[in-house]
Amino acid sequence: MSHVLISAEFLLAKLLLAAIVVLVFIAAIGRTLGYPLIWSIDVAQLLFIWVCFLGANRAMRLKAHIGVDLFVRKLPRTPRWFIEIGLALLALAFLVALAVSGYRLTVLNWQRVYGDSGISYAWVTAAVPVGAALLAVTIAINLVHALRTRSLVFYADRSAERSDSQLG
Amino acid sequence: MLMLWGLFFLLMFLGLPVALAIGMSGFSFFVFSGSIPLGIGVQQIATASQSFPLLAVPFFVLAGHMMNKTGITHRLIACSNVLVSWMAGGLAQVCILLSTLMGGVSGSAVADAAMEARILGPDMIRRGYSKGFTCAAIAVGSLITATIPPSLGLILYGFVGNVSIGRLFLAGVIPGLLMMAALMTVVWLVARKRGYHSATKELPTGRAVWRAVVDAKWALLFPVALLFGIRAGIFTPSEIGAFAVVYAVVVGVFLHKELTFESFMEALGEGVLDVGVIMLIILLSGMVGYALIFEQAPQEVAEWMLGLSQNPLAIMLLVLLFLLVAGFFVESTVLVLLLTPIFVPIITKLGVDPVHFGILMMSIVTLGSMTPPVGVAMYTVCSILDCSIEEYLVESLPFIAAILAVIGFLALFPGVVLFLPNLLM
Repeated sequence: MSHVLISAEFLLAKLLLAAIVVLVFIAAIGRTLGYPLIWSIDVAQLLFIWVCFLGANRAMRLKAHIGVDLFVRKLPRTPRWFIEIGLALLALAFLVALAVSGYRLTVLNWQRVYGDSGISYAWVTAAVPVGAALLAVTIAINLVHALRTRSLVFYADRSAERSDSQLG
Repeated sequence: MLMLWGLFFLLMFLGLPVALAIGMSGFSFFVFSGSIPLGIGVQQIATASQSFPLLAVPFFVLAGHMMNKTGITHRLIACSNVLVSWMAGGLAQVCILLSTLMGGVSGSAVADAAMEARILGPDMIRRGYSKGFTCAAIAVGSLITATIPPSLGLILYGFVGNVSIGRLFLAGVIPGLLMMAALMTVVWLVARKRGYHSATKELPTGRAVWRAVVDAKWALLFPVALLFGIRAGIFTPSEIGAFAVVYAVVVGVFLHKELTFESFMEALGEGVLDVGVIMLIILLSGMVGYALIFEQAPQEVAEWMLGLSQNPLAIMLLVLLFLLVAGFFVESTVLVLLLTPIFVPIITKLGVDPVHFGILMMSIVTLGSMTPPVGVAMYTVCSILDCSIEEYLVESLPFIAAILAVIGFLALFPGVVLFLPNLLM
């Protein structure tokens, strides 16, 4: 089940990213030809924040976020592991707080209309609580896994290198 | 404010991913202020995504991944090989030239460094180049990629500092070429001294050069096409990234006939991942940005700096020195996001063109990712080629010195940087 969800999330993120490119490209061509599409840029920006959080969540799952392990790398395994667990709990608290206050803000924003498109601004704000909740779930899953296998929460083992990314 | 910075550095050095460290320290400002509602913090995150120029980040990241699937990278390597492998230190020269050519299609130094370390690195070490020298040539050379447009760093600087991205792009061309010349000179000097031979004995024939250039024409024409798209008024500088992606797909499908549906989806997937990594830092830094403005940090720093001296050049050198030191310890994206809004008003007040300053700032900050102790490009290259940081450091010194000389030269002669943007925009 979770496997299906992960694939669905990944496919959705890819489609949204492609849609953003197409929307902006068409808007530019349309404007040049004298048929401006005012809503397309608005929709592109709305989709963008969702792509950001879906991508960030995927990166969290693959433990691909940039971190500075310069100082903790030299520590023995056990203290390093405890630091990671502590950081993961802190991060969870932060993301849950973000999700809750984000939810409240989204409810408040329901009336505000976005750009010239007539879409509710809540669609933009909603990405923050949803994204924070997704990241919290992913960190929780990584944390449970770390507790079981004594692996790290935010760093992959060195053998599994991130070979498919531009960022190394 | 002090607590915010303390928390940020503590969390970051304990190993929390940079995005979360910056998000949590920013959030702490709202939690402990007592008077500012948390909702405003959330609002900052959402607002950070709603800037149109920022869309250039996903576009150029995706364009870079698409290019890799279209055979453009592979053709540029072949082209660089033919052009410079006859020089002393031939393969290292190929690295530097390749970084320059890749600069025209890719916007990320780390991406370029990782690619070269995988493809060219092992071959160089096998032919007797020292590991440290190989890593240094690749890592420091990738700074050229970040300077030549399109450049992710310049997009971010333009976005945060409200500076024309089109002018910044044009301004990056000449500094990038100067860096190339300086680094190739260093390679030549070191190679002569150590007897690193050229890879081929003879100069390439005119026909071979012509064939390699024609083969790589769609890659070499790419920056020209971008410029044309902007100048013809079809695309704004913020939209040109969408054109870059479409160009890559068209070249891959119809001209090189190498881009399949699977590799297209792969590129999208890799793009999603990188966008997630970069953008989470940018979005979550929205809260720190608000805190900085709320506490009037830019004004305070400006007042303090302008109190030190009224000489524009002295202040600018001071700022650049500060950035150089900060770059040793802080990741470059974070530095750009946090320091651009502080420094741009200062240097503008002094009469320095923000485009000129942007090139200097980006070069120095990006150089930080090639130097210890915190340097993403350096770690990437050294871990791929299994090189110790000490060995890297010694061998990278002449390269870093050459880059600093170029930056110093550019600081003293703004006309060199501003020539193209003034001519064309």
